[in-house]
Amino acid sequence: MNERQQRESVGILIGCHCCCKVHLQGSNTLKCSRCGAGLHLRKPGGVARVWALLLAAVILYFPANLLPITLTSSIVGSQADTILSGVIYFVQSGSWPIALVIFIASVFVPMAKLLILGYLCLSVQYKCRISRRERTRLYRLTEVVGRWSMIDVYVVGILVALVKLGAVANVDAGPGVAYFALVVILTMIAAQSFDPRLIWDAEEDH
Amino acid sequence: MLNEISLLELQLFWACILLILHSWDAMKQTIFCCHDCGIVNRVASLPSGGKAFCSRCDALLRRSCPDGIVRALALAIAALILLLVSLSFPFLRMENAGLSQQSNLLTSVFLLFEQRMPIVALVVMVTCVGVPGLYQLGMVYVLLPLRYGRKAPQAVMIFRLLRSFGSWGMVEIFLFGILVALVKLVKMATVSPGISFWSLFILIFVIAAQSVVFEPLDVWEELEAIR
Repeated sequence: MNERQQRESVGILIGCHCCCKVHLQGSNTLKCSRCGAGLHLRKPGGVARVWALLLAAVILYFPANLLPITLTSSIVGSQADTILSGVIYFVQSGSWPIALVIFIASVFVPMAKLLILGYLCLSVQYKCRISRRERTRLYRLTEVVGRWSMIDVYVVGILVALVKLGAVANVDAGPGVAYFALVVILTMIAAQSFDPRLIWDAEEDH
Repeated sequence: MLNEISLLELQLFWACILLILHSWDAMKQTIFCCHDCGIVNRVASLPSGGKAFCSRCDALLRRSCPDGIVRALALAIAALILLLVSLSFPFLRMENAGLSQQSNLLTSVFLLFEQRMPIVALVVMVTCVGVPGLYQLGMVYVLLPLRYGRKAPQAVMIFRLLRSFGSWGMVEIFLFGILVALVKLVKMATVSPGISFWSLFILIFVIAAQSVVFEPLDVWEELEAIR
């Protein structure tokens, strides 16, 4: 198929997002004939849905980072740790690799994900035509890497469940963890809702 | 003689039409709408183990996986066994001044609920136990009858559900979480990984292998053919 044929059939053929079966666009192509999933040319909601999810994630990002995620109480005293103070603690106690892992997974990745998705949405809304392949690759990377931010939630969960030694130390989960978990979930859904085909639509509107 | 040639040409013509129609309504799908850029690609037959990429955006369209269904089924059963082991044994053991504490994945979740942290407990429960477990169960439910040429009831709907929520399983991230917690706790007491830790470790490789040797399009084509 040459370029012209490919471009001309873009508006005519719809591929099922679930089973990849190709359908001819017509009056009665609402559900995939093979798997029953709803057929749509582009993901429903458009850029607006992604923006809404990103906005919600940004709002929750503040309590997630400002409120403590662990409350450690021992005979020496009690200590409330946020994500960042936890990273600093690891650096000060000499565990550089762990500090790096937590910093990348819980500080860098969520921030980067919000910025990248915001950039992709803007580039689609302003019908940017350059670097389409790179932006698609960026999107794929964001989708894959985003899940790793959940690591901090698991760490807190494990610490709380494990450290119940009463007299020596007690670890409780702080309110920040729940907000952070929600931020990760929201950014994951936002990445799923973004349709990378919109990046390539800018070419068609001449 | 002229009539005979015309008849032959007519038969050839119809054969071509049928071939085109057959390749459209494919047993082996040849036309794909790229899910990342929307362009239409035509995929020639793939060599064994080969991959087809979109001509415009390099998205993976299809992978050729010989015996994919049988291998995925075997790995799914292995994953279920490993999950059962992971849930039944402790994943971390901690000792300090004679007092020992160990945490089991399931009891940890219940403890988190008791600590009035329902969101965290729910996240751990769903992403580390619920989704991986249900996903593998669903795979066995669909693939086992398929291996013998049969279609389980509601197999299409269940497989569709599997494809949609499968990406929410985060077992490998949970394992890294255990490692980080381990480093943090080493200061306080002597910590050692339990059986569940190792079964989760192997489970990660099983899940990774499953995603490599399995092509969902093979299942969709089988399900369609059996109807």
